[in-house]
Amino acid sequence: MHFWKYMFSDNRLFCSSATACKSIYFLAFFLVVAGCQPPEDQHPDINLTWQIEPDPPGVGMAALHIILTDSTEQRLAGAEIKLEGNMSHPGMKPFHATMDEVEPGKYAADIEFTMGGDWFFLVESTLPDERVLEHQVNVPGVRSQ
Amino acid sequence: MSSVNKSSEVNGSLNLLDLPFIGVFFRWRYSRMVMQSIMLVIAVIMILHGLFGPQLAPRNLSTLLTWVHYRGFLVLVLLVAGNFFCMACPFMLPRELARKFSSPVRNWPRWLRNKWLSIALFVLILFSYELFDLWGSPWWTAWLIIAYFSAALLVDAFFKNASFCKYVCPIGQFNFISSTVSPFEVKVADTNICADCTTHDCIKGTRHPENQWDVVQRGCELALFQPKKTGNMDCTFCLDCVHACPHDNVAITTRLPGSELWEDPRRSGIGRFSNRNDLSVLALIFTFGALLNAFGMVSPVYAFQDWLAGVMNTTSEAAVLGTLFFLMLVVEPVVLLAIAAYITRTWTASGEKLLPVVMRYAYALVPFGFGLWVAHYSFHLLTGLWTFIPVTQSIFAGWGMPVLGNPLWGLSGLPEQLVYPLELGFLALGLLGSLLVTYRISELNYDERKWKAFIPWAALCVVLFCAAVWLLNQPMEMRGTFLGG
Repeated sequence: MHFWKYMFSDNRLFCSSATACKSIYFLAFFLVVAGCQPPEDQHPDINLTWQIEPDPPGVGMAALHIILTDSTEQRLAGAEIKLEGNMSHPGMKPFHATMDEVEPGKYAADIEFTMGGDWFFLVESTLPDERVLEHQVNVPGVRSQ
Repeated sequence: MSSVNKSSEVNGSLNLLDLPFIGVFFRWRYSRMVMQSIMLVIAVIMILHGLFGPQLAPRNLSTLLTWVHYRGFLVLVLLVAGNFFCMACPFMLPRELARKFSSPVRNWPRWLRNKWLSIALFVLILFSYELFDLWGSPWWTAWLIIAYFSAALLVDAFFKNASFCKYVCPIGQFNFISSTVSPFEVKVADTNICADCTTHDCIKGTRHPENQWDVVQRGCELALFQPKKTGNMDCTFCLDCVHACPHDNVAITTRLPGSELWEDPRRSGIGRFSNRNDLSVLALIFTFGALLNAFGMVSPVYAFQDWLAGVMNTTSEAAVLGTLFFLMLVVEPVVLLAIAAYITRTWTASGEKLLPVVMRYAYALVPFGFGLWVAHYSFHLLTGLWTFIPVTQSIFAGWGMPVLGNPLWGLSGLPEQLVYPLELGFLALGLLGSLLVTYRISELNYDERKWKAFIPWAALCVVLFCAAVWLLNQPMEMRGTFLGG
């Protein structure tokens, strides 16, 4: 007999208190998890622009440049920026670096892509006024060849 | 008639149940529930972290534990022991709870009592993994776990016995086919005792002495009658048979891994392997799926997919990926196995049809396929072994309770240079296993012409092995997209 015909013919699924009990159990199970929503990203007012060389990057060394600006598009000098690079696949070894301020408000670091694939960088900027900001920079499609 | 086996050896094999501590634990009626409860707690943590934690795969327990640790430990435990992950499966706990309220009354539909549905789901999961980049999404990984719990609950609340495990669960089928090469098996300790048994509690369950309708200990829910059971196929290591047998005559014993792949007796709850095309196809999907899954992580796959997209004149990732799956899971095995079967038939002058030859030798590829799964998943596990520590530390730190210290994000695992020889070792072990099974199948079916039957299939095993070694030597490139990515 066809599966759905078998399941629903003669109201098989909903014909007894036992099955009704099961249905309520399922409903409760789904309701508990259905209310969940993914957390939204939080973006601070400080603007971060970035550039990578070479573009597109490949496996090996690359240079990451970051510029921090405020809401009036003035560069923010004197920040301390820490960098963590990782891959989109879990279980990979991340690398850490501290960026150098190569000119006022512009920061740079040499990074090594050890494997091809999708990378991201977590950028933690400590501003001169002690505020700590976090940004995520995605670098997808790093070529291995 | 009762006979308690106090020796830790059964017919020269080691019996886990008679070992100190381990044996006592497994004989304890609630041992499985304890293991399942621990896994359930971990699963709930993974779900919650996947839904509410950081949506960065390396920093989320949902993705980390699912795609690195669970898969890695699963294949390693299958390799060195047996199907103990099915034993500790947490998906069964909600259904056990549901069955407290009411017992299912329906039998699983007869036309679905095979592996076709679970094979389709297995392919669907492999496909979804690649298409939706599940490894990189804590959110979707959490929902995948929820979906699994829901499906197990839904199926087993409405259908009797372990219908979900036997006919639906894709992970279960992976474990069943993998455990055919595991060193431990749940089996009868002394067949003479079974010959005199009249109650058959191992399959019917233990009844209350004063009320025969009251089952105080259930028997095998997967229809495996111990005296007629051969090998690990369909066995979840639930140990219901161990607890039900009034003669203490069921053991967890060592055996020659893979030996059940060349034997073809009538198996309880399964029948003969040679009559089960669905099981043969499962073995093939398992083997070629291992190649496909590994191929999906190396650089050449993107060039191939780009080329395929150009030929198909499409930018649809699903269409290109679907074509790749069709080529690697259908066309490739059909062509390779048909060639091997044709040569075997010609050289041995057996005159038989090609399909039975293919289905017979499909099982010989399982050890190789398993070797490749182990090589692949153990790479991720071993190179990222300790990565769960900083993620766990960060959870507590995020709650303002850094009781585990500051996250040690530098922790990873073994260096790749050290893991690579291990991967080659797993592959070589798989090849040796496949060659052994191939030889024994040839010997049993072709007698004096065994070498003529053996050579084409041995050559196929070597070709697949070389393909796997080539894959391991390709640069890894884990991209979420390939078209324009």
